[in-house]
Order: sequence, then structure tokens, then C-alpha cells
Amino acid sequence: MDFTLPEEIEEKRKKVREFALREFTEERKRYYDENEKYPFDIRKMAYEQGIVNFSNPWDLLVTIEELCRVDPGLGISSFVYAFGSEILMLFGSDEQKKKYLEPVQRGEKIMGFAVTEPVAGSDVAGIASKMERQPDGSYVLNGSKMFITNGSIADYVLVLARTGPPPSEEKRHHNMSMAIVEMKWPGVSANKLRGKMGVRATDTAELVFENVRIPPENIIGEIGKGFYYVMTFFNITRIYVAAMSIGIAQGALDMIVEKAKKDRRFSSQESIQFTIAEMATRVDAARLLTYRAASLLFQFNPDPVFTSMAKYFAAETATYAAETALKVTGLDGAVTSLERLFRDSKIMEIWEGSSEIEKLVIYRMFMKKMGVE
Amino acid sequence: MDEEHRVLESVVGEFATKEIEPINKQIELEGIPIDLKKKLSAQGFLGALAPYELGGASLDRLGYSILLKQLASASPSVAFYIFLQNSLVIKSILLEDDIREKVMSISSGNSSGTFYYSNKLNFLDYGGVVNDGRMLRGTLNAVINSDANIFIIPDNNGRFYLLENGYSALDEHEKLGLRGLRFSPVRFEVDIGNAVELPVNIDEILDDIHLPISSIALGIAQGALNKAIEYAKERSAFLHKLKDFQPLAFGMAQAYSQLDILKEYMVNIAQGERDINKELMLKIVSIDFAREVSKLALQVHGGYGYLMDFGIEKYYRDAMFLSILGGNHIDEKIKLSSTIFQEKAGWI
Repeated sequence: MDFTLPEEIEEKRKKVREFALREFTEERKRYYDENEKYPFDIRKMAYEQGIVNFSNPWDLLVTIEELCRVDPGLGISSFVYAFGSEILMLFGSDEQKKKYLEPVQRGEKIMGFAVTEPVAGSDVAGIASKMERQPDGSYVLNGSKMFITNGSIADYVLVLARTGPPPSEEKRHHNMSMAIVEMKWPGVSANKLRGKMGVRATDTAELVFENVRIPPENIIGEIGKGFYYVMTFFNITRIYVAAMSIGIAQGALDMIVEKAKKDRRFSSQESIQFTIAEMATRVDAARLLTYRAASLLFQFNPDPVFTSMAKYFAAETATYAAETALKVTGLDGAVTSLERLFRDSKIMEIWEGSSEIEKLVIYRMFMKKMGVE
Repeated sequence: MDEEHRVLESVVGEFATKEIEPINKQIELEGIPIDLKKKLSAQGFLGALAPYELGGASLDRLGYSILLKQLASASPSVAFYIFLQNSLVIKSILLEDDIREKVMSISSGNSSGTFYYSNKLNFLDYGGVVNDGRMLRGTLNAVINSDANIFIIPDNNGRFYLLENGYSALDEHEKLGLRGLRFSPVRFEVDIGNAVELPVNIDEILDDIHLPISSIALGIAQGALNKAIEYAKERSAFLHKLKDFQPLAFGMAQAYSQLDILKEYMVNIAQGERDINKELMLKIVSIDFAREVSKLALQVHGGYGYLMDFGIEKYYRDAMFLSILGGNHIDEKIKLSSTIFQEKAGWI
């Protein structure tokens, strides 16, 4: 067992840290947060300076961690333009990869992933959007999607919809399929959601599909397998959300350490010393859980128990760290980036499977491992 | 609780539902509108602790606690504003007979005051105002309700002055919570002849804020939990209402029980003989509780809870900001420890 990352990954970590500290200035952080604007300029810089590298998963993981450590809103916006790309990598046709995936990887296009609906969040099998097959082989999509990252800036989104009724209550997850939908197509509209508590630089929208015609070549993989594709995707992205969460927790820890360095009266309190010790321990535990889950995933042997444990624990660590740091630094924290970390951190417990969903996955899969069906 | 206080609870609750709930988003985005201040004044809420002849309601401790709790349940910003005007500004003004009439302008909504105590909350100084015998000069960096026109601030010797000119509020800080109140640095340059010295004892003033801060914290918990309970009755997932799932129902039932016990405790200590230690104990517990419950309530709402339009995320932010503005955690815990051990304790 070796707890070190390869040297080139640690070098990359340093490079990303320098980039984030240099480019995520206080003015930029505040501007994009206050105005709820997506930072196209920062995304371009991150791409051009080789910060975001989708070809090496460990590289991407530490990049996410370091970007979110400085600012989650700008950090997530720097790499999330390819959101959903793993679906195309794993299940897309060669033509789909060439037409849709490659322009995203070249930093030219933005992609989104549209699963959640106004009445179905955690309950993916409860979605109501429908794709109906037409006599000419094409499909017609109707429905709406909610909380879609990149929704109002994406060039195309990968949509999950029903292609048939559920066979039974127990099999509600059957008969769902995925398709690539271009945002410029007739019948597609996006309504940017404003007033998020945090990660306000990221773009989030509600999407509406009215009689959107989808050519058969835009169906991803096999008809009826959509739910499985989404679950496979979550097994990957939950690791990256865990990395975002570690970044936030580390960022909060950095700030409390910074105050302790500057203020002897603060750091001389044993209650503060214990708080720092607890926080440092939890951040490290979250990182180790995440790296173990990542290691299995990156060796093509993902374990949903470890993945969900990592996402659940890291997300809770992010909110714990931001709350605790803010509580003990008081007004010092309230007038700095720490208050933003506090607002940003809460979404980690909600998106990509809420903490409650992660616990359900952990229980079911863990008991299965224990021989209980 | 007697009939009079029960009626007050109901009246304030109705006022909050009718006059505050519909404009909550406006309060968060633009501040507390003057129209609402006038309505609060007409009810006597703006000068809650002021005597009748100065436009107040002359509320007792329990009445004031109920008022703050009920207002905070709808808008923590409005409750904190009332607290700031009464527990800090009006109380300080009433220490000096010659300027009592200034209370009338606050309780009528024509003036707005603030009181600076941020330097008591942390280890670091938040700027300072130097008194050179002729002028008061300097910048205070963390002033809440910084668009006030009456400032009560300490100088570098710890003496407090009331100022009505010679101030300029600077750019706002990013606001964690209580967004209905402006929060920014303020620069002062005032001829000492234009300032009124007040015999404020800051430690006594801060001892008096435990109960009102507890009341606001319990109001936050009540507002957030009520919304979560309503949402859990309506929202379905996995073919069932959220309320039907044990982890959510049990969590909310536990929070409801704790809130009920804490409210009862609040009523008892507000009615009984003054006991500062009990008030401090209630504050320490209530503030942590408000943070926990508002977090739970947001989680119950899922993604919708993260959006301002649903009116739930503000409780989470406000509870955190209240815990920062509500007192100095370490000083207060040292004080409480020393009371429990009946000698110096918790100082290492």
C-alpha cells in the first residue's frame, strides 16, 4: 500500500494551485459571485494554460481539488464545460464522439447532463420526460429538466427520458434512454436559475423540451439502458464531487491556519487548537476515502460502496469545515472568502446524489457484500 | 404564558405573515423598506423597549422575546434590526436624559441607529476611532446597519459616543447573512463637540443581549422547521411523501421536540427573576440549534432549498451570521465554565 501520488501529479497540483491563486483574484471571485455570471474568460485561461486535462483521471482529480480550494464557483466553472462527457466516452458511438465529444475536449463547445426534473431529484426513476419513437425512426422529446449545470450556456445536453412506460413499480428504472440534444434545435428552451446560495459563478438552468425532434443517430447506446448509464456516470462523478468537497474543506482549513499564524491570542486557545486538529483529521480522512474510491475507479474496478462513502463523507466534511472555520474566525471569516466557501459548500451534500441517497447506496451495496440480499 | 403574551404572540405572528412574508425577497435584496418600518412603528414594535411616551411599547422581557422570535421566524433581518434598535441603541440613548427625545425618532421609523460592538466579538481589532481630545477619527471595519443616521461607537479609550454627522459608509462587504441590513466599514471624522458621550458599560450591555439573541435564534429554528415540515408533507420521492421516510421524519420530530423545550425554557427565564447565566446557557444552545435546524431544513428541500425563491437558504446563512454577531464564543464559554466550577476555569 502506497499513499503517495506520482511525482508528475504532485507537480500538476502545484501548477494548479499557482494558477488558482494567480487568476482567482478577490475581485474576480466577488464579481462572478455577485453577478451570477459564468466566467468564460477563466474557463478559456484554464484550458489554454493546460490546467484541465481530461486524459489523466488523477491529474483531473487533484486539479478539481486545488481549484475548489481557492474558489468553488470559479473552480467548477473551469472544468465543468465537459459535464456528461464520460457518458459519451463509455457508451457513445464513434460518430457521436467525433461530432460532440471532441469539440468539447478541444475547449470549443460546452456540454450538459440533463437528468433531474422539477418533481424528480434524488429519485431518478421518477422522471416523466418522454421520447416517443416516430415512424421514420426519429424520436420526439417532451418534458422539462431542473437544476441543469451549464443549462443556459451549453451547446448540447445529454438527456434522460422515458422511451416506454415502467413495467411495474419495482421496475420504474426500466425503459429509460439517453439522447444528445442540441440546444439550438426547435422546441428547446433554457431558463437560467438565479438566486442560488452558492457556486453562483456556475450556470444552472431549467430546460423545457416541446416536441423536440431527435434523429436516431443521437440516441446514446441502447434504447432502454439510460438508467444504467446514469448510475455508471454517477459512480464516476461522485468521486469528482468528493474532490470538490475536499478542496472546499482544505480551503476552509487554510483560512483558519492563516489566522492562527497571524494571531497568537487566537492560536494560543486550546479549544482552537483542538478545532484545527479535528478539522485537519477529517479533511485527511475524506481525502483518503476519496483516493481509495478513485484508485478503484481509475483501475476500471469501481466499488459503489467506497464511492458513495467518499462522496457522503467528503461533502459533510466540506460543510463541517466551512461552518467550523467561520464560527471560530467570526467576523474575520465573515468579511473574507470564507463566507463564500460556507455558501458554496452546502450544495455538495445535495447534488450528484444527496447524502441520504449515498447512505441508501452504501447500505444496499454493503449488505450485498455481507451476503444479505 | 399568560393571556396577554399569548395574544401578543398571535398578533406578531399574523403581522409577520401578512406584512413580512410577502416581501421577504425584497428585504433580502434591497433592505428593509421604509414602508415596513412605518408599519412596525405603528404596532409599537420598532421601539419595543421604549416607554409609551417615546413611541414605544414598553414591552417586558417576555414580550420582547416573543416579538423577536415571531419576527425572526419570518425574517431574521427584521428581528435583528428591532434588536439592534432596542437592545443596543435605544437602551444606550436612555442612559442620557438630555437626549431621550432621539428615541422618538427611532421608534417612529424616522431615524435608524447602530451600535458598534464588533471589536468585542473577536481577537483582532476591527479598526478603531481615535479620540485626540478635539476630533474622533478613524474607520470601523465591520458595522452592521451601516446606513444608519445615528451611530453609537467606542473611541480608543472605550468611551462611547453618539454621533449624527461626520460619518461615511464605505463599500459593502459580501454579506453572509442578515442581508436586510447594510454591512460595511464606516469612516468617521467628527468634531468632539458634535458628539454626545454616553455612560455605556459595554459588558453590561452585552450581558443583556443573551435573551434577545436566543429569541432570534429560536425564531430562525421555528421558521426553518415549519417550512421543512410543510415541504415534507407535499413533496414526494420514490412514490412516497418525504414525511414518510424515517430519517427525515425522525430528524424533524427530534428538532421539533428540542425547539419546544427550548421555547418553554425561554418563556420561563424571561418571566422569572433575572438570571444572566441561564440566559447565557440558552443563547449558547439556541444558536447552535438554529444552525443545525436551518441546515436540516435546507437539506429536506434538496436543490430547491438552495434557491433564494424558496425562502429557506436565508435561515442557514442568517443562523451562521447570528452566531458570529451574537457574542464572543470563547469569552462566554470561559465565563460559563467559571460559573459552573465556581472558580477560574477553561482558560488554557
